[in-house]
Amino acid sequence: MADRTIVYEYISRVEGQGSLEVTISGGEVVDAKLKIFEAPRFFEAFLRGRKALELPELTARICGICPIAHVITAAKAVENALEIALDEKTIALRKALALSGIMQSHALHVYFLAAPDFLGYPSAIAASKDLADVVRRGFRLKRVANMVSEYIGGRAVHPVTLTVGGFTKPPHADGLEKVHNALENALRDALETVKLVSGFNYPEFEPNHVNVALSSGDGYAITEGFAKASSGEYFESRDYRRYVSEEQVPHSNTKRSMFKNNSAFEVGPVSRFNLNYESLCNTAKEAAEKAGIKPPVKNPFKSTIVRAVEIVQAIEEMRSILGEGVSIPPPRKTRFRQSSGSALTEAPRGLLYHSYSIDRDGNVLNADIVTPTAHNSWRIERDVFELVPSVAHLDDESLKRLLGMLVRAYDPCISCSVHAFTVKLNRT
Amino acid sequence: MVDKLKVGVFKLTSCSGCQMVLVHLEESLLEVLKHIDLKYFRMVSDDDLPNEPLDAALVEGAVTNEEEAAMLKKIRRLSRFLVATGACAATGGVNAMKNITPEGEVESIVYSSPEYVRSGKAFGLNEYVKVDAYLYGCPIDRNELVNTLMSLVLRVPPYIPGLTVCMECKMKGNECVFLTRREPCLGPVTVGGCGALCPSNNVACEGCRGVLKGTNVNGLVSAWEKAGVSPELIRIKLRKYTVYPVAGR
Repeated sequence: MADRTIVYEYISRVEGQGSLEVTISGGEVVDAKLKIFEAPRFFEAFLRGRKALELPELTARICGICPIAHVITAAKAVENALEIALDEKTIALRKALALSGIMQSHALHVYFLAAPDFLGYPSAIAASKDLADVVRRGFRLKRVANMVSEYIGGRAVHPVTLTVGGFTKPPHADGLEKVHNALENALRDALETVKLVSGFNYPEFEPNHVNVALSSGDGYAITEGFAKASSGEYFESRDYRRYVSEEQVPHSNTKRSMFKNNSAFEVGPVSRFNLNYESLCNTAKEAAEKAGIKPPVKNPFKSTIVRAVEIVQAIEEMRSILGEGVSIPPPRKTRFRQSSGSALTEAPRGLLYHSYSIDRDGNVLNADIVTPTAHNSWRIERDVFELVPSVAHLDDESLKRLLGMLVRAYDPCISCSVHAFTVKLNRT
Repeated sequence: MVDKLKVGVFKLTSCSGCQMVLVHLEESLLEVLKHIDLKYFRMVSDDDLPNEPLDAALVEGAVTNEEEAAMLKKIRRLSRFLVATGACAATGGVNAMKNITPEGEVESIVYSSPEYVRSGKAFGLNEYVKVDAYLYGCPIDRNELVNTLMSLVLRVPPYIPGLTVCMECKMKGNECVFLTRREPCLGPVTVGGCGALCPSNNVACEGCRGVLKGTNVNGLVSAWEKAGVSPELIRIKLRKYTVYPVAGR
């Protein structure tokens, strides 16, 4: 078989600007590079000298798809630094906000980024001509997720109410009934979604991955807990750097996140599902069972089904948290001192790490942020190595399409990840 | 029937949040699409960069390197009407905060081998090309986006907000965060249109929509000083989404 290079320039239907370059020789991959040409934005640099209280607001701007995850993680890291303990209701309300963010992102991914591949359209908008009901369902789920984000956070993109120490304003009791009605209807749409995506034709591919996700003794872990690995390790955010390292490697433009100095690992919905399946609510478990998935899910393409199941979980849990209404105390007062703090949470795409040092006047001295896509980037490249030999007979165009689907299965969020990547501009 | 308006959605250095607002039009997006043909929207569609002229381009993000400047000029040549979409496109947005740190220093904080990284100062689009209309905010406002798109369809000039966030806040009857809590709020000098979203949620305006022409930034800063706001905090407030033109700061 002749040597060839497959280049997927500016991968479509992912957030941000990246390309994939794969060199194949004798049916084997000799090089796979997920290249990010998106310009870096230097958050860790310009956060220095800003105020710690600005961190949730400013880090939201890392990502327009998962700002909620950044807002919550930044606030938690500062609270950990200052040893501010929050009350249970505030913690629960934050989880509901985080779940609405996951639902927003998953609805976008399932219907608008992933589904077009399986339905055979260039976009959901193009599909809406033939499949109006399906696309409208995607929009409805997105709308309900946004509604909950707005109800709790004040705005769907870059929420405003979440602050260090709590919330600036509690959600108003008046809006609650509308939210509950919307969530009830959304559950039907979510179950339909699980049915839809379980019928997709997934490529066969079962690599062995190390899964890493937040875990806790109390429910499906999103905003609270410790990190757990499928290889048996547990660690808290303050020990993150002892387990996860980054390295610049020759022949690749990405900075690799490595687990315990040697292995690629996977974060995200599949990791959460595999490690915390028992904590899912019954409705979500039943939906997963009907869809024919159970842990461990190994096929990365089937992350689409897991996302649909997580939408069900998010809806059920948001309904339960919002219940009869959540009354929360005003935000806790902050008293600054020279300190450091970190936090790990589950963003829609997986484990997210924020860590800060602050001085006694509340100025940021140092910031370190590692996003889920940075965690997954080496895993994506390794998957390319493992997948290609079994499909090397495909022509360039089909192979390119399949590799695009593989990258998309991780729902990479490139704007998020760029400050963690070494960037080589190779736009043509 | 009149031909549909040909529109492209482009991204430079940004978080994609403003493109998300377009997706957040949700089912009304399908209504909007009865009048608009989205020719390029890479985040949700496999479209290739268009060769034929566009009626309008929505450009999100700041310009931070030569490649982006070249791309922007290409978009400009292609498009009859160019809309700077969001704070990054309008003023550089949060990306511009690094402009005050010496070049090279920023890169070395984030990257161990900064020689690979090519990124200069961040600027709004109008540093490079003529901008026909602005959508302000971080992120942009959903209603303003629909209004602008529909103005383009109807071929009338888009609505330009002419009042401040402070005026909108007063009309809503909110308690003033500055007068009651002495928090420096940029509402009195910031372009309105967001419905005073932040102050309505007990958060001071951070000025993400930029300065409204004719407002008195120096006067506002004097009022903060008199109220005892620290010079350090004032400096920080004036350099966030927008670098404010205040003498000596």
